[in-house]
This record gives sequence, C-alpha cells and structure tokens, in this order.
Amino acid sequence: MRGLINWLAERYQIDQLLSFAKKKDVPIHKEFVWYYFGGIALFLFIIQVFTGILLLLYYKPGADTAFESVQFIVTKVKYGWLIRSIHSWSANLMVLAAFIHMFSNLFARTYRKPRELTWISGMFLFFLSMGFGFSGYLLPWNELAFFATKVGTDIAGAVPIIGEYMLVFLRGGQDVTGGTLSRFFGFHVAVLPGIFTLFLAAHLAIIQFQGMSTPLHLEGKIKRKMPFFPNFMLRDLVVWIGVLNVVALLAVFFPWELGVKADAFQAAPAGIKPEWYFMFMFQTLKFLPAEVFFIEGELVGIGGFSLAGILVVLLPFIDRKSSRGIKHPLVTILGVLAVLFIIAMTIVGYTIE
Amino acid sequence: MKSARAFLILITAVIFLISLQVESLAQNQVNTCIECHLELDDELLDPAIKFAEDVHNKEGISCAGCHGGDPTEEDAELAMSEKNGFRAVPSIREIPQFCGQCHSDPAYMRKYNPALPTDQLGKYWTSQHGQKIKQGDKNVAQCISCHSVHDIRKTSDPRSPVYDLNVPQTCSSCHSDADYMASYPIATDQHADYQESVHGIALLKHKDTGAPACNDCHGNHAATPPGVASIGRVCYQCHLAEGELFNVSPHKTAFDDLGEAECSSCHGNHSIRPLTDEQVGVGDESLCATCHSEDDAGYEAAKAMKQALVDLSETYMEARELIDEAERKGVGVSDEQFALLDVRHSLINVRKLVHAFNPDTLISSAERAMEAADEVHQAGISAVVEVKNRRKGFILFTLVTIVLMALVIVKIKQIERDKVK
Amino acid sequence: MEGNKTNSRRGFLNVLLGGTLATFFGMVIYPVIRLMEPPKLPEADISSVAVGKITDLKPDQSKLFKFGRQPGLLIRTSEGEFKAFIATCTHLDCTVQYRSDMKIIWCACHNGQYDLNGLNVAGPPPRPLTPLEVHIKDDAIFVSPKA
Repeated sequence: MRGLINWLAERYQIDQLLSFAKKKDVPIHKEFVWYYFGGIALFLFIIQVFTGILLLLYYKPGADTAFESVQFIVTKVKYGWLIRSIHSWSANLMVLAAFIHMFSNLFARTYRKPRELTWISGMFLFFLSMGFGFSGYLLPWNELAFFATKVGTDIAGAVPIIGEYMLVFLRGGQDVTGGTLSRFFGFHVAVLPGIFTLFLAAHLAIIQFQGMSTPLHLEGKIKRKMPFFPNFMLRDLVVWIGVLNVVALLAVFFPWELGVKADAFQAAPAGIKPEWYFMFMFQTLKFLPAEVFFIEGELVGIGGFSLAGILVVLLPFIDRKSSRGIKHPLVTILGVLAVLFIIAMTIVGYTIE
Repeated sequence: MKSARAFLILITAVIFLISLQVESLAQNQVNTCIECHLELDDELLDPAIKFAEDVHNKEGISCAGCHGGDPTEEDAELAMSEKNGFRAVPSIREIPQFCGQCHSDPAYMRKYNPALPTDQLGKYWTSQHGQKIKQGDKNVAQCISCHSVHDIRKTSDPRSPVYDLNVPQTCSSCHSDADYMASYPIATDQHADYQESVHGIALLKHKDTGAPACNDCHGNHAATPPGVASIGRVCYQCHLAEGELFNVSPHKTAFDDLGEAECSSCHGNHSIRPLTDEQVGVGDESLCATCHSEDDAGYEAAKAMKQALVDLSETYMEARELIDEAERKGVGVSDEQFALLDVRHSLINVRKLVHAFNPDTLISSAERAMEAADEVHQAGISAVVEVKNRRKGFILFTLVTIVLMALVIVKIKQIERDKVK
Repeated sequence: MEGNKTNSRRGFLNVLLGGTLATFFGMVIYPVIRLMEPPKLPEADISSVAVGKITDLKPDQSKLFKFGRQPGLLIRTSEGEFKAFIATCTHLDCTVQYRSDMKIIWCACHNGQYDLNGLNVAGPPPRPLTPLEVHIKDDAIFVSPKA
C-alpha cells in the first residue's frame, strides 16, 4: 500500500491531492447528524449509477419490449430481481435523503454568504433527481406508470403559452406512446446523468474548497472540529454500509412490484398515483377549486409551485439577513409550514380515495 | 301590358297552388293515428308514445301495418273503419296469429330481415303455452307476454325483455308468481333455484351471456320441459365432452333401461351447484352413493375414481399455493404459472372423465396429469426455497455488515485516541 | 512493552478490518458478476417465438406452444396453410384445441367453437380468438403478435 503511494507520489503530485482532501474540517456540535444526509444522497446516487448500468445490459426500451425485458430481468437474469429492486428502492431513498438534506440546510441557513452557489447547485440536483424519478417511473411500461405519466405530462401541458409545447416535447407527440418511452429512456440514461454529473461535481468541489458549513445559530459556539479525512469519512463509511444494508433489506423483503403491462386502449385503472415525492403537488392540484379569482385552479397551483420553486432556488439572495448573521424567523416559519404541508398532503394523497 | 300582368298573377297562383299541394302531400306522411292518440289518455295514449322506439316503427311499418285502417285519414271514424281494413285490438287468443301473419311469411320477412327465422308460430303451437291457448286458456304466454308490445325491440337490444340477461326475469314474472300459477300443476321455485345455480350466477352475476337462461334448455317459442328423452341432448349443447363420454359409458344403457333421465338424475336441474370432487366417491356428499351401495362394483369404481381425482387436485392446489406464495414474496414465476395452467386443464379433463364411468381410463389419465402436477409442485417448492435462500443471503450479508460497521467504529476510536495522545 | 502490545492489537484490527471489508465487497460484487453472466435464454422477446419446423406438423395437425404468458395454438390446415391463435377461449379461460374431425377449433369446457379464422361460430364464446402472425423462414416456423 505504502509502496504504491510512493510509486504514485514520485510521478504525480499526490501529496497535493491528499492535502486538498485533508484540508476540510467538520465542526462538531449538537446538530452534527444532519451532515450525513448529503453523503447518504451521494451514496444512493452512486448505487443508482451502478445498478442502472447493470440494468442497461438487459433493458430494452420500446412499447413491445420494455415490460417484457423488465419481467425478464426479474425472472430470468440471475440476481436481476435484486438489482432491479435495489435500483427502485435506492431511487426513492435518494429523493428522501435529498429532501432531508435540503431542509436541514434551509433551517441551518447554510446557504448564506459565501455558500450561495452550493445551495443553488444543490437545488438543481434536487430538481434533476425528480426528473430522474419521473422519467424512470415510466421505463417498466406498466399500467400505473403509463397513466401516471399521462397525468403528469397533462399537468405540464396546463401551463399557459409554453404548456402545449412542453407536453409535446415531453411526450414526443400528442400522446404517451412507445415514442415517449424512448425519449424518457434517453433522458433517464443519458441527458439527465450528464447534466447531473456536472452539477454534482460543482456541488462537491465547492464544498471541498469552502469546507463544511456551520449552522447560523451555532456560529461562534463551535469549540471542536474534526478532520474530514479520515475521521468524518470513516463515519460516512459506517453510515453508507448501514444504508446499503437497509436498501438490501427493502429489496429482499419488499421487492418492487412490476404490475401489469400498460395498455393504451384500457381505461385508466382506479388508484393512479404518482411517485410519492410528487404526491403532495398532485394532491394539492386535486384539491384546488376549478377557479380561483377568475383563474383556472390548476393554473394557480402550477403557478404557485413554480413560484415557490424559484423562490427557494433564489433563497440565498432573498434572505439577506442570514449573511449578516441574523436569523430571520420567517424562513423558519415558512420552512416548517412547507414541511408540514408536504407531509400532510402526502398522507392525504395516500389515504383519501 | 295588362295581359302580361294577368299572366304573371296566373303563374304565381299556379305556383302557389302547386306548393300547397306539395305541402299537403308532406303532411300526409304524418301518421294520424299517432297524432290523435297523443291527445288521448292512458291505454289509448300509451302505444303512441312507446311506438317511437319500436323496431317495427324503425323499419317503416306504422300502426296500420298491424292494425289496418287508414293513417292518412283525418277523420277518426273513417280512419278506423272496417272499410279501410281496420282491425281493433286482437284478443289474447288471436295474438299469435296476428303477429304470425307477417312473421310466418318468409317472402314478406325477407324484405325486412332475411336472417330472421319464420318458424316461430309453428313452434309456438307445439309449446305448452301454444297448446293451452288453443284450448282457450287466456293466462298463458303469447308473443307480447315476452316481447312486450308497441315497444318491441330486437332480442340483441339489452333493453328487450328477451335479451339474454333479461330472460330469467321475464319468464319468472309469471312462473314465480304462486297465485298466478295456482291452477297449473307446476312448481314456482325455478327462478329462485336458478338464481343460485352455477348457470344463474354465471349469467346474472358475471353477465356471461354464454351461460344458459331458461330458453337455452326449454326452447323459446317451443318452450316445453325437455323431458327424460331429450335432457341429455339439451345439456350436451355446451357439455359436449361429458356427453360424448357418457354415451359410451355403462350408465347410458343402464339409465335407458331404468327410464332415468341423463344428467339431471345426478346433477338436478334448475339448482345445479358448482361441482366438487366430494360428489364423486362414496362420501356423504357423493352422488354415486345414491344408487351404488357397498357390495357392488360401481361402489368400488366410484371410490377409486375419487381417490385419483382428489390426489390430483390436492397436488394442483398445493402447487398453486406454493407458486402464489413465491410470487407474493417477489420471485418471478411466470413459467411456473404457465405450467400450472396446463395442470389445471388436465384436472378439468380428468374431472370430465368421470362421465365415462370407467375407473381405468380416468386413473391412467390422472396418473399422466399427476406427472406434470408433481413437476409443477416441485417447481413451486423450489420457488419457495428461493425465497428462503434470498432471505438467508440477506441475513448473512447483514451479519457481515454489522461486523464491518463495528470494526470501522473501533478503527475510528483508535485513530481519534492516537490523535489525542 | 506497552507500545508493542498496542501495535499488535492494531495490526490485528487492521487484518480483521481488511478481511471483513474484503468479504463485504465480495458479497456486494457477487450478485453483480452473476447478473452479467449470460442467462439461459438470451433475451426477453415475445416479438416472435420459434414454434418448430414445418416437418413437425402434417396437414390437419395442430400444436400448442408457449406464447409469452399465454398458450398459443398452431394449426396446419388440411390445405397445408399455417394458422396461429392465442389458445385461450374467450368464454372462460380454458385452452382451445383443434378438432380435425370437425375442422374447427374447439373448447372442451363448454363446447365453444371457432372456425379456422378464429371466429366464434357456436357455443358460448363471446368473441373471436386473438389471431397471431405466422412467419416461415427456411423450414422453421415463427409466430409473432399481429401488428
């Protein structure tokens, strides 16, 4: 081991690389636990990359083959059931970890100067993850996914002016067809990973340059720090191993269902549900009245969510006070309300028929 | 000048008169029967309203097509005069002949519906209903009792009272009415029995129009109980395989000699329930044991056949449970499900073979089916074992995970202790 | 002495850690390698199923085959023409068969009858059979869904 390092060190400036890795410290405080969630999301993303590549060996996009090939993977390919199930579970846990990571940073105001770009790149990663989820959901070409995609793209189509264009762009035509499946496959395995990698590299590089942040309310109260490498990284490792085990547990005991093949000529079955992380939006749109102040209710909903999204992305520039060390209570209040709203609407979405 | 003007006026007048004439011609198309009857009440109004939906109306046959008279005549007296061939409401006894005048005439019917049979009236006279009506019984069914009147629809129209799904209800409106049927020596519980039967459930609950309604066994226009002689033929319409087996079985001659009805002697008629393997053999629910007793060959045969059936069906059920369990727990078993389908069909066939009443053929078929069933059963066991193996694999992985996590934690502690020193 | 003891304890821990880590990675990699192993059937494809050779079927014979999750029925008519259908009766889901004595496709369950174009001609079946496409390449017979 040491020999190899020496060998490399003689040829490359490996010591500089090591010192770059070692330069970061992690503040030790009572809210230390939230530091793990970014790492968990990253680890789950890595699982997604590996399992995704493995599934690519057998998956065949296309209305006639997609469902059959996934069925083939889970029945005929050795350990195909495991890898496919891990891919599905890990995707969901990744979005969950990203949610937690995002809100923990929001409440800690870590987006304040000088970390505005970390926040913004993180938000883009979050949106891209949802894009991964939305496009990946369709790929098994089963009934639920087919109709959920129909409904989801319909919602995009309701946006004024550009809606129609967006709908056709997403579906690759007026309807959800095999063509849509090909596009979603392209988005899922090429377009999104490419963009995601860029943002992820930026996100991680910035963190490495700037070091770990400290929650605003604990600023100045930090007494001890821990080197990121190897102390925190080993802790990360323990958590990651644990996470892998949880994913395996879910995959083995609660294998992700394949359902029945999509049939465009069938009536939509009861209980069409989007992926859970879209549920709160889906449910809100359902609850909105047909008209709100002379504007179509659905439009109000879409507009509201878009506006909220933009505000959250631009939060570092809106919440100026945090950069001056002042904790604005409105951010906390709105954040808590958002979390409660998301949880409540998600629960309602799954309980009300 | 003047003459030219007069000419113009003349032309205009002629055109006006011609147009009046055209208008009155158009008015003639309006049916005065309907016009008048819409002004009337109750039973005189009813036909005028209903007739809009009637299949005859849609084919262009108006009231006069059946009732005669002149529908262009404004005057009611004249319109419904004998001179114009008006026939008032036919009496119940007259109805069959009334409808039959057209419906028994192939040349006439060809103009409207060449595919429609024209033998209904002839058949009707052979039916119980037809024979009774000839004797002057006014309570028995004739055409309109079942087909309704003035709103007659095609039998393929789901609103027709004789549409497949509606037949039992239509027949039962008389046949289940104990008061109405009091003067006839037949039971009134057929509909109640039928509703609970395998056929009734298939037709009424599952809307399987392939399942028999009353008419499929009793005939419709020639409705009559099939009787001992023809009951087998009636059932064989659908249960052909059983019939083919039965007809060469030892029971065929035995039943004929005893004057026993085929099929229904064992299975009953209106109240046929789904069959179970318990009805073969010599147990409490056995149908065989109603005739066969311990000291005859049939008794032994029944016992042997039942054993073979039960063995096969138990193996099938177990295999199915195993495979379903494995599927619930995430093992892909589409091949096994397919193989199971095959075994299910063998089982159905072996059950049919009971009707040959030949234990040797049944047992040898059952043995052949059993081989496939055992294979599927084995596959089911492997599928369930696969579930267990997956879980075992996971537990092993978890153990390694825990040890690894513990060791890394120890390592972290060690590094941090070194730092402090 | 003290140092020696901690050193050996440390060495032991490292060996143990290395061993466990290797086992762990082995357990993670194992399914991955097995997954990449080519499966018995090379692909998931019911776009066409090889049913056999022309010589397998004489005129007026038939054969059941597996078509995806359903049974398929291949018939060679007395004229030598090949026809294929999904063999599931449209009444209840029994498997139909070819009856050469009647030149029809027949369901033993309730005497449902279909002609050789799959049309339901008698008995309870409410709909025709689902037809399949037959392709012949050299002397092999392939069946695929009707486009």
